[in-house]
Amino acid sequence: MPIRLRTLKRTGRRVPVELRDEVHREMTLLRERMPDIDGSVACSVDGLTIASDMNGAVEQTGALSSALLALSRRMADMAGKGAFEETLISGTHGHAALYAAGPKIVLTVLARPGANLGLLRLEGRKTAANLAAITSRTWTP
Amino acid sequence: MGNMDISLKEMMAIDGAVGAVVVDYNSGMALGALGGSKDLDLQIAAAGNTEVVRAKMRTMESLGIKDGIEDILITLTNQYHVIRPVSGRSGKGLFLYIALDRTRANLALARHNLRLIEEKLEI
Repeated sequence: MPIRLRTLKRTGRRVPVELRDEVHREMTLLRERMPDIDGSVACSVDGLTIASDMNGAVEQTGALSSALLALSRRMADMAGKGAFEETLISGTHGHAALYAAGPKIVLTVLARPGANLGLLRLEGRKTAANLAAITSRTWTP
Repeated sequence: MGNMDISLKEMMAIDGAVGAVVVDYNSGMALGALGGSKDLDLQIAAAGNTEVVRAKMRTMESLGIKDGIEDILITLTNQYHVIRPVSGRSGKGLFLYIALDRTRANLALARHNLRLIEEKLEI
């Protein structure tokens, strides 16, 4: 993983500051609207982190998110379930949810145990749709 | 013994009912829903009212009130929203939610009927 991350950093294209701020604002709003969120990361499909609203392993989360997105897309495709929308991972200490934000961005949201998953689902999708709108007009990864 | 589909149909048979949902307040997700419209998205209602129920339960805990919620009534200008946690063992962690049109609903009768439906609900 560290090798892959270094490669990404070397080859990674810069994310414009305005875009990062705008994306970050959406993620802050998500945290305000929804209780029990630990944090969130938005990254491109190739694992480049665009913005994050969390502490800790941001880059690793971004890299894993892109891998999970690829897997989820393939699964949805193979099973004939159409375009990927959401992946939910639940553990004994909380949840990690991935939402497709357009074809090139993935939003990962980490939630505490007992989080309102119905609300997470609605708010996660709404935020992902907003991110897709922001990135489609300002950035091509 | 009413199963969930029958209970939802009975809820929608209450005068003035415009939407009925059985919700799991641990996850905020609807186990079943009937009715609703583009003005009343029942998935959003389920998730949002889960927060209402949780907030009330937290408040009672903070106040040290050792009692259960029988129902929660929210009166809008044009609608009544009634939330009723399921008390039976099989329905633990669930609540019924019904939205009623105020012009057509009889609140006393609606609460009475909702209690009867809740008492015989088996999941």
